[in-house]
Amino acid sequence: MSAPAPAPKPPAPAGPPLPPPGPAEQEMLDALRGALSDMAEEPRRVAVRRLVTRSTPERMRDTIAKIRSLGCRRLSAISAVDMGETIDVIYHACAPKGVLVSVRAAVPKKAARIPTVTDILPAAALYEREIHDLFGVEFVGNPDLRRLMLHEGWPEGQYPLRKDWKPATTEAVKHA
Amino acid sequence: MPEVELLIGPQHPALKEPVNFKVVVDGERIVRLDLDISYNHRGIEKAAETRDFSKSMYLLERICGICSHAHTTVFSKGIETLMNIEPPPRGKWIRTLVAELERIHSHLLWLGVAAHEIGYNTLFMYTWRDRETVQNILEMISGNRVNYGMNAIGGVRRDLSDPMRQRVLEGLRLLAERADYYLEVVPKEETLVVRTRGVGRLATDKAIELGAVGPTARGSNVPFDVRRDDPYLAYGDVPFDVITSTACDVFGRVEVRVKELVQSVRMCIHMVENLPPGEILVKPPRTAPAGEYVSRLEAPRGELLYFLRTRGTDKVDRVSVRTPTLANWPSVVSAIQGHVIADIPVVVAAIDPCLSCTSRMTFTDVDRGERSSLSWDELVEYGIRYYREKEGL
Repeated sequence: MSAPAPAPKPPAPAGPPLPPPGPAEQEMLDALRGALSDMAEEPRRVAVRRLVTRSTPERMRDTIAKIRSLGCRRLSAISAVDMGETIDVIYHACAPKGVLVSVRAAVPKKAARIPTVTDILPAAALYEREIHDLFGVEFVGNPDLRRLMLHEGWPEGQYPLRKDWKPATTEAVKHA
Repeated sequence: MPEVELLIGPQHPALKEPVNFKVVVDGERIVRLDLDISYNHRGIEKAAETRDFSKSMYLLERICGICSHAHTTVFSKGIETLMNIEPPPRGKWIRTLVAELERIHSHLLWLGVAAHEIGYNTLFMYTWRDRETVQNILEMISGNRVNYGMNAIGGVRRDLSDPMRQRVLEGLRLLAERADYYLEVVPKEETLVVRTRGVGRLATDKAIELGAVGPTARGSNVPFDVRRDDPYLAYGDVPFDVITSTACDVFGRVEVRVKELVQSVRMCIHMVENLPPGEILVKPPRTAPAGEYVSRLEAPRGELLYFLRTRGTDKVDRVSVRTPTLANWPSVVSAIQGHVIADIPVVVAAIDPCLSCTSRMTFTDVDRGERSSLSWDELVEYGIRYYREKEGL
């Protein structure tokens, strides 16, 4: 049930290289590296004003609390992506000066659970509900995981944004 | 008095998208608001995974009828970043010009809707008449009044000729005059002031905590504007001010939008007058290398964020869309508490929801289980009557 294999990679087109980081970016990157030094992957800069790092479901609350204490008080969004064996949940937090910090954690599909961060960043409430609804990731400790996007008559256990879900038959969306 | 649960929505054929509000009231006072936005999930994110980039553009453009250009811009900006290409300067400027024209049209539309909700139909007629001017400009540039189809991966699809620029400028000069007029009239008009001052309060800290975006955040004195903080396209080269208001209520959100109107018209005039020469489009590669990028921009309603993941093919592996309205709902839920039923229309309208619709409202008396229905129009009428009797408006 894994995602389809990628096509052969074409040569990267010539383009401008990534410009060096500005002072705000460098400062945030250094702060992240200091605060999250025990992470498996070091925080890095992938594009202009875009910093990424990786955590684990167990340590996500701790990571989010650390990032918040570094000045990322506004949560912009939470995205989820089906990676095959896991569902990656990615938290996008706004740092000062337009820098966006994205932290991801791989949640195994078989036991898709991750602790909620709604008590640290209340803006997460609707995004957690959305991902629970569309990907079937349970945010442990979130008191309100009712459906958000899908209709109340949508059958249980059908998660349409997972790669193995196909909108093939009307049978699949019949009221349970 | 027992707490009563009030259901508003979800259907209204005249408005954009359906939403259902469950309002728990104690007498006139609102205790709690709960919302259900599940009536309009169209599966666009899933559908985009099966279409190539250029087809996805047309699909994503149809997420929203008002800020359609914002959706294609944020998508093309993301894909271009992943492809490591950049549109030519003229293409970037035209893209920015259409984005700002879209903001003018959206803010004028909103000002009219907000005025209508409080029974101030003169302003509604004025703004919607002026909106025709910007719609005509957009039609002249793109051929369409909505869903402009201007963007392509690598630039824009249509150029502005010199005679067209002159006509666009004529329209913009008229709009500049009108925007100044609104700036003068709106903050002083009694109907507006009484119905919006102190209504829908949202403190600065609360707005940050709840992740409010756009004029909702800036109306609560949060100086967050993606155009300045995370500049893209021509925003680094076009002068403008980030507008904030210390009012922290519906009035603040009105003030921000009216002042932004003035700013956007100025930006458009600057862009039309100083449009750089050259090409408008570069030919993009067919595929994008594997990668991920978080693309965001300032749509008329606030920060619009796309998470994009590509895998070396001509399709996206995942596109995750976070619209400004979704980010602003928690603010509505918070801002409406403690207000009266008569304030529901204007507080809800104040975030400019992309789905501010309701058709009938059912009053349920929890204790007696009695139900009665009211349409959105009747609710608006009720709000106007309430304030007429109370304030003599």
